[in-house]
Amino acid sequence: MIRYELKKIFGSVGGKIALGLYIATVILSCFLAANGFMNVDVKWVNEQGESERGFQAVQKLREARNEWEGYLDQEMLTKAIQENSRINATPEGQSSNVQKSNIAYGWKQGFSPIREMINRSYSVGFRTYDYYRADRISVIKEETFYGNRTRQLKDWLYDKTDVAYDLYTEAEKQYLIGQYEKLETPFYVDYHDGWYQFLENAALLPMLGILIIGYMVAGIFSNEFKWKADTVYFSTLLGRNKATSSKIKAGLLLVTVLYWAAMLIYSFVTLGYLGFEGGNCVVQLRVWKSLYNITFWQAWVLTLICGYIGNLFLTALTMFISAKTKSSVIAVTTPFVIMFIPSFLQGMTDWLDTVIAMMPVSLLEFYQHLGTFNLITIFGKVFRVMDVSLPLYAILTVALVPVIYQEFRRKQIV
Amino acid sequence: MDLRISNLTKDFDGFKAVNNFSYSLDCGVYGLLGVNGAGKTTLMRMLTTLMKPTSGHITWDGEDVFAMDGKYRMLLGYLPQDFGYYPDFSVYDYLMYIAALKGIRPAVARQRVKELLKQVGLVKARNKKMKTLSGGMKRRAGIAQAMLNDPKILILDEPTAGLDPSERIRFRNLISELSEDRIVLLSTHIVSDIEYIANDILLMKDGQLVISGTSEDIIDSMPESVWISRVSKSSIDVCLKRFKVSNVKTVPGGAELRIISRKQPTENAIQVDATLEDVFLYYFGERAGEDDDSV
Ligand SMILES: Nc1ncnc2c1ncn2[C@@H]1O[C@H](COP(=O)(O)OP(=O)(O)OP(=O)(O)O)[C@@H](O)[C@H]1O
Ligand SMILES: [Mg+2]
Repeated sequence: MIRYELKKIFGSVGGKIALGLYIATVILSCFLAANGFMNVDVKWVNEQGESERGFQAVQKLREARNEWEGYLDQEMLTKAIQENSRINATPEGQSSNVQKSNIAYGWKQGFSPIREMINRSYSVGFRTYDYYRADRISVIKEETFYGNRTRQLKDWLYDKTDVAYDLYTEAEKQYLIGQYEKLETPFYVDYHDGWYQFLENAALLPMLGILIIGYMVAGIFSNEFKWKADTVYFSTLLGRNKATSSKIKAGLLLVTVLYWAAMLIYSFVTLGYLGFEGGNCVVQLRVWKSLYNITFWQAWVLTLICGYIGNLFLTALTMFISAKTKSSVIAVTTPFVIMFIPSFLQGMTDWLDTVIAMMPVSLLEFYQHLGTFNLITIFGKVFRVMDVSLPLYAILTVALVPVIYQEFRRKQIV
Repeated sequence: MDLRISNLTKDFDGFKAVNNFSYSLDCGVYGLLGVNGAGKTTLMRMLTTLMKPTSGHITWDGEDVFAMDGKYRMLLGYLPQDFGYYPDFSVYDYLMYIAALKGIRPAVARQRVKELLKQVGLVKARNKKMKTLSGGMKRRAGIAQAMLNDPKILILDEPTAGLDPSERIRFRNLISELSEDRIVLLSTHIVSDIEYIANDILLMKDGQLVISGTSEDIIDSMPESVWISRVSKSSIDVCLKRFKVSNVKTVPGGAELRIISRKQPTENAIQVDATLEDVFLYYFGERAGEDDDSV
């Protein structure tokens, strides 16, 4: 019966267009991932100071980064500072001419992520970032480099003049500091731009995807009424039981297959093109302040799982609305509303921000939450929002299934 | 085989669409005759468990049908008045899907669908999309769907509405064919639909069962007589106002009126045998509609 439910969806012109659009979105995402878009753009700045893109450029960047592969210890930090100073001292490094300084930038590409971490570590305050900070350092100590991270956090949390002072409870402050201290140092540095690019852009596909999937499943229940097929449907032996569960299964199967197919294709195209190496590096190489002491590949796994739960929940919710209201139009707007309400409310008050961070849309942008400090205290125990929302929405999805079932099977024809 | 309706009432916010309706059905064809809004569809929706009655009961061999749940629905075949379907399904897919809903195993279903397609004359159209079928073909797909599980109770809500006269006759014959060994309840507001195929006729008005019985019983039950009277052109209007007129036939110089009246309405009036059409007019105060607007 699941087969027939899918046939109802994809038999129509609208369903076919939606599927085509979904496939097009995946292809477009893969294309953009390989060519750079939005936040991240893997490119190579050559000896002439010009940006190169494409597979050759990736190879050159990878070679340059490979020279800096290894533990980011005293030796490598010193080497990075020395190399940075050396390049700054060249005529190109001194020049204010754009092309010349681009050439100098090009020479720094091998260690640019390291340089950036130094900028962050040695910035004046926790929330400031000084792009030229590394240029003013002549001596660097491994202990200070890593120690600054926790020190700055503590300074910020206990600065009475800063909002953070009142924003977090003492338990939460201790939790934050604990997470920072738990991070193992020194970091291992390797070329990791494939993972970086994937993660930075990983939200787009599930977000666009769920809007399309929402359209597909919005009619699963309501179309029975729209088509007036409800009278025959509910007068049959299985209409009020097995056929209803088949509808739910069809919706969940649909989102599962489409989501995983899309995300795995997208992952492997991006990583295949930009490189799988660096998966074992910690995410702090890019998200210096992250509370998540995980590696890039672990972040990838979490991104996929969070995205899946988010998609699954929104699909179940859309189906519920479809069954409840008998209206595909209302149902199809559900994912839109759920996804866009948070952006309207963002930044109004702090507690609201936590609520927003708890919304299912956050699950679709797990990587964007790696760098945020949204905490929630339950019975005195502190959690990161994601630690709560992932199981929460998984449970809610499971809980919704019998609710949808009961909602539809009890429908009366009036 | 005993489908019993006892004191069935459906109240829509104080309006009783079905009002204290009681009747008992066993094997045979039953014609449910009533004007628009009489409550036929509402009654049938309760009989198909789509809608719960406000009060009263429906039992099958003594058991409440709502309590029987699937066990009762297994016995049902239903062609709704407003027959809806999955527009992008082919006729074959549609029937196979409904067969699945009825819990028929695929191997059996394939056989059954094949037989029914032949019986309703849709073999050639089996791969056509449902939405591309003509009204008559849709109705035939509808009856095939109702027959898939070889139902003990076949409920057809105005199955001939919207069909042209030849389709209507075809359909009537089809129903006759299918009526063996089961209860067929057929609603209509067209007398000729059921006059010859129904064993029993139920006249429904304002949610209530007015009278029931064989066509002869019902005709005999009418306390007034039927007269044919020839009148001049000028007096047609007067007669139409004064009497219940079931038919007007124009003849040279005037008209021949079919009048229902206890006493002889005019001097030249001749008494004739009443028909079901006359009875319909007598009970409902309006002519049985041949033309219809409900589809
Ligand atoms: N869901 C409802 N809510 C309120 N009133 C309703 C509802 N369904 C039907 N009715 C009313 O109940 C009465 C009986 O309607 P029903 O559809 O059963 O009549 P019917 O005999 O099938 O008429 P038709 O020949 O036009 O199909 C009508 O007056 C109708 O307006
Ligand atoms: Mg009706």
